[in-house]
Amino acid sequence: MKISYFSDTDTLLVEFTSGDANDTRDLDENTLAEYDQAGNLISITMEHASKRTDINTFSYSTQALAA
Amino acid sequence: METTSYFKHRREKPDRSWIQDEWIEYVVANPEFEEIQTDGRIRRWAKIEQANNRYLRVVILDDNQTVHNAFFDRTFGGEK
Repeated sequence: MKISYFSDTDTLLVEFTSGDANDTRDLDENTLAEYDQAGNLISITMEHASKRTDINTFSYSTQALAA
Repeated sequence: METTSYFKHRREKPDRSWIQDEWIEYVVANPEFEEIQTDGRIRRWAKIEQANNRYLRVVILDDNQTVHNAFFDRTFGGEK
């Protein structure tokens, strides 16, 4: 997974796979989702990201199943 | 053609690199449809003959010249 922030336009791009987009759809006016030819989600573009999330803080964790 | 860093980044991938600058400039200059977003950015659509007459959506910043995004819009039915 790759996350890129473009400060000139306050745009956040989350790329789940490196596949090519075959279809781009609006989730809302400021959010685009892109899908490959098989219909798999490959990326999400979020505009005005700093107003919608905390772009200065990122955390990642993997959750293990309880024994 | 002025472009944003997001546009330049997406252009590096094959799914966008084949979209010609001339097509984008054509849509900007000759839109069949236009919509102003609530943030002032502009969406324009026009058919591209060389791409089987599919509608190319171009998103321009509110400076009315900087291209931010361009993609063939499968969801656009030609009405706004």
